[in-house]
Amino acid sequence: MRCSSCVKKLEDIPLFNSNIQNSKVYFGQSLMEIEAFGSTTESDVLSVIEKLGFKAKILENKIQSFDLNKKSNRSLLSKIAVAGFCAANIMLFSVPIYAGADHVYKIVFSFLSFSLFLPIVFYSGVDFYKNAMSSIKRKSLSVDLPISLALILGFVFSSWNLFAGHYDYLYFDSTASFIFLILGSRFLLQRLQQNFIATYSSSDLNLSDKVQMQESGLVKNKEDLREGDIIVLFHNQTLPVEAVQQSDFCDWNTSLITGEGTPKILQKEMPIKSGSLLVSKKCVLKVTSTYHESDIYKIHKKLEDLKNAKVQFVQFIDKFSNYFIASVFVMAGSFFAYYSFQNVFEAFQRSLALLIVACPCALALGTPLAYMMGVYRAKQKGILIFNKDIFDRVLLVRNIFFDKTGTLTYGFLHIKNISLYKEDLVNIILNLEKLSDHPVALALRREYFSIYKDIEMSVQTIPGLGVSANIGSDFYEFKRSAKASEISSTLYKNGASVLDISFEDAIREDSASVILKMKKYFHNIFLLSGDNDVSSQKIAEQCGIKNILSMQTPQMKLSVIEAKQPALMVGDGLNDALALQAASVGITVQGSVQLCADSSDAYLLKKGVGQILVLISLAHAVRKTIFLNFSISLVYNLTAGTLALLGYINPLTAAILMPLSSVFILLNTLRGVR
Amino acid sequence: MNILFILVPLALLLGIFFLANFLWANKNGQFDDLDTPALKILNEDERDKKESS
Repeated sequence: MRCSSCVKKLEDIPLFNSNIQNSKVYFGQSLMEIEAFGSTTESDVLSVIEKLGFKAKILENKIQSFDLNKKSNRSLLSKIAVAGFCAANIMLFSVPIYAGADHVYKIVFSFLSFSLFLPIVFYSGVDFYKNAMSSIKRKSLSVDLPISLALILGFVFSSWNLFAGHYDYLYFDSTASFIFLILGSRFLLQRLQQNFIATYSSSDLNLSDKVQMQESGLVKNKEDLREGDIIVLFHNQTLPVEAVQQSDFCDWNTSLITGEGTPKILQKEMPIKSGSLLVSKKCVLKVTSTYHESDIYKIHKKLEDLKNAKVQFVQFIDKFSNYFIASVFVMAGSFFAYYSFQNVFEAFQRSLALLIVACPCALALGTPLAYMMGVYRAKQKGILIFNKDIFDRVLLVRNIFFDKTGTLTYGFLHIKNISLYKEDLVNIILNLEKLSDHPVALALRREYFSIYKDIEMSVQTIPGLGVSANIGSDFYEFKRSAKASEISSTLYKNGASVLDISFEDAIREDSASVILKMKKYFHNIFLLSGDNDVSSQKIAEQCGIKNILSMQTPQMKLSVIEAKQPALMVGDGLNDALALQAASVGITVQGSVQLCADSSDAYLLKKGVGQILVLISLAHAVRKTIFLNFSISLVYNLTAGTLALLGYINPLTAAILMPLSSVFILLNTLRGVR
Repeated sequence: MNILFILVPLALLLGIFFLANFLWANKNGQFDDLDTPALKILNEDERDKKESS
């Protein structure tokens, strides 16, 4: 969805399709809500949307969470509105009190402040209590704990002072504005999170769900396939089960499973791995396993397990903030214990002033905001972040692993060498291959499309080998010969070879320079490829990578990563998915398969791996900002805290200082993360 | 200064009136999606098109 007319098109669906009752678009989230009448299935809806030229995906279990989001957004917004209204009015009433209003007005305004504070304590602050309670149950410290304590104690203490007639010691105004600011920043955060942390939940393996049976021509679901079934697969379908080939020659693209870039020609009776993509027009296969026994399903299953078992990462900042909160508590507590021997009332008052003044704004406001700004800036720079922890983790990484095909290389073939360049001969080749979308044909067309002239001929396919045709009196053949490391094709004229072309999957222009720069940040750089030794070695040499691990199965990649944590994995194929999921940071490059993007932490929207450097510098900026926020609030808290303990801070100064520090931290965060 | 005893509650009531309106609008989903409605305004309604033609 890009513009207003897209929105209109999609929302107008019920006008021309009587099956669909209601359609609502959420532009910011790229979501669409559709209500349909009873008999309509999900795929019906999808096909309607596809007809309009949109790609849609069903959010499996996100429907519920989307509704929950909506609910929590509304409730938070109500709480902010109430808190804002009350805080603003309390402020208005506080001004005349500070300015020295007459005694009667002082009493009236103080009681008004009190009654306006009630909704804040009993409505707006409820979430803080809940979070604080659950953090106590988990026996951990959270920012909500001091916030709730400051709120409740501030309320109890101020009310007590009010009813006891000490009108000079009311903290309603500062506490109220504090709660309003915190709620506001939480809301901002929630919205940012929903709009910018991309959510993908579909486990789209891109397998062919339905497969045609050879004899009956019936279509069966992949789950219903049994051993011994004979099936027909067509061009661009992916094999969902293990099978043995029955056709003579067929081209298979196995990059999904092995990461090998060049298609393989396989013969009759050879086993075909699940997840292989058929490049030839048609292939007959005998099924040797059910879907649930296939390798591809096992990878899928393992991935789900890894996802569920992902170890909760203890963030550095979390640890730091725990100390911070604890020290504020200890300071307030020990001061109270010490001073209460002299004057219990004063002791309590001053410790409370400390708690309110020193309430860790940097934690509650600055830290999450810095993360969200990081996510936002990353999106602007072409990196989709799925997990905001990535900013911390990427700085811990010591080993970085690159997949080869599609990550460091383009993932498609280029012409490496042509033995003899003659325009008419090349044009004959182009004509021979004009109907094919074999990678070789694609490479030829990409390179020579400008010289193409149509020649009348009827092209014959030589199964698994190439193509042939008669042009005039001459008989031309264009045959492939795949060797271990490279793929090459030869043009034969009347049986004699006239022209050789070899192809390779070239590395991206920026790969080598990016890796050179990365050596500054990472101890070890590895190439982790499923491809054979020769081509892995070559690519590694060109990129300047010394550590090469080739011929890796998906499970092997996983165990390598697990042994070398904290690791950063960069990949694109399904064969990387397990490794990406297990690595501390998994990054997928543009053009990755969906499932792979699902298991990673970030997705690069621009081609190549250069964006990783941007991500690293962004992570540094985020961390620097957080530290600066901490330093600011540490200095502020220490000064203000000391003054509070010494009794120099009265409610007026607290009310001025509190928002001031918050605003300062806000500005610093917006400035710092660029 | 006695006028304050009328004006202050009046100001509060006015504020509460707007707050209540906001809460009502929020409850009815007025602020669920801030991006889409801004785009919708650019298009003519299907109904209006038919009438004009």
